[in-house]
Amino acid sequence: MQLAANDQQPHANERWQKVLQWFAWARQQEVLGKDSVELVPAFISCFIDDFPMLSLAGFGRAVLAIFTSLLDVLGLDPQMKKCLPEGDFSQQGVVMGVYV
Amino acid sequence: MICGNLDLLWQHVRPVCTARPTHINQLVAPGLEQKVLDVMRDEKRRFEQIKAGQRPTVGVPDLVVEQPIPDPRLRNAYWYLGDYNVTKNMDDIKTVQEMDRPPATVNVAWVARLALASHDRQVAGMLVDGVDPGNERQPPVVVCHNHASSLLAHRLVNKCHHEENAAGRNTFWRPEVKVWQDLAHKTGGKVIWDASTSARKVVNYVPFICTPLGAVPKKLADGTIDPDNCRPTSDFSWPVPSVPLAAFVTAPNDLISLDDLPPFRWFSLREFFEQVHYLNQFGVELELSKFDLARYYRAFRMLANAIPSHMQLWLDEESPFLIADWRMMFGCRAAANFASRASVFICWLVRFAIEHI
Repeated sequence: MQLAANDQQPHANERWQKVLQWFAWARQQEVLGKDSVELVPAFISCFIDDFPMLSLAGFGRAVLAIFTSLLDVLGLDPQMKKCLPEGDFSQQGVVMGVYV
Repeated sequence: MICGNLDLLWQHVRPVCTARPTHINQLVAPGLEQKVLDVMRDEKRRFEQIKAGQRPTVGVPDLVVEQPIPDPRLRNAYWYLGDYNVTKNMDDIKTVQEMDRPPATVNVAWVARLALASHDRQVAGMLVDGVDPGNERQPPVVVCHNHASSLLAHRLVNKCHHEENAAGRNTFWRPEVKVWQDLAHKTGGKVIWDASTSARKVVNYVPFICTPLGAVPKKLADGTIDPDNCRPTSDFSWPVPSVPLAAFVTAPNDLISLDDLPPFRWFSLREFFEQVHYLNQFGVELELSKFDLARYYRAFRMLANAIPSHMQLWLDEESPFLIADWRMMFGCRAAANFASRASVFICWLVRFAIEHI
């Protein structure tokens, strides 16, 4: 709820309404003992030193905060020069129709 | 023994030899250097002809070194010449297990503490201080090999090699090295190449084994890869089809404790994209981000018993050169395997944190 309250992005209310409804529906299915897909707010994958992350809009900053905190604790540095130019997120985001 | 490479591997698995060379001729067969240089010089001539737009007339024979160490007492180990190249002091020659291994730059205490609670506890010991396994002179020997990845990622490999060369972290050998030394007395004492000051060191690794067992396609002068034009390399990945390598050495993944391993499924990039489209259809808005870690392989401590499974003859704009990078060597180093496991460990921690916060 704190994330939702702090979200200043356009159409944040509608977006969070949908996400919360979705989570409520999933919890109801679980209570009824029905099989349903587990709702995960964020998914992080890895390929050696690359970590692509996909998250429901609004959760991304919190997940990135956890991830970067872990890197800090473990003593690993992100390679910032590669994040934007080689990741080419603007292109991938446009192709997939997601926020970047 | 079934084949030469397996024989060498088997010798490496056995305890490292206690004998010490007293003369370089015990370690490096006389004439071997010249043999390698001759092949590289022919390769360079061929390269220059291609660069000039001519059809190459030089035929370059496969380089096969069946037994590079003349003294049978010293064949039980891989030898690292290191500072000997400059000092010519035999005491500077070490076995691979005795090579300097810089300490990990990761936060050793935290990696160990968190990894001990994860499914892959051995990552902590192996990556931060090499305690167990892979400590000094202790089995198992770890071999990791993948030709395909170095080929598919050839642009990245080439770029990495250039960066590593520029930083002086690679060891490599050009055909000019000997030529420049020979020419020094003809140029009025002007030393054209000096090992003590050059960032580009001569190869300090014997035995260099190039056998017809494996092959990597060549990079042509115009930067393209010719898949039908291969160079021979040593390849320990499959001695013969009926004898799995795992019978003789330990694969890195064998070190994961299966008792604590959580079930997981490989999630392909294609599925990753499909998930995005799938969720979008439901009207769920998504965010995408990506992190790339800096100097990841070098953040960990190198395994004492990990060995590169081949050396590569690589081409750049100057000439061909032999290259061996003990810390990285994309596609054939255990580092990639262990770094991947460390990444799985990091993802596991993120998931753990998301579920518990």
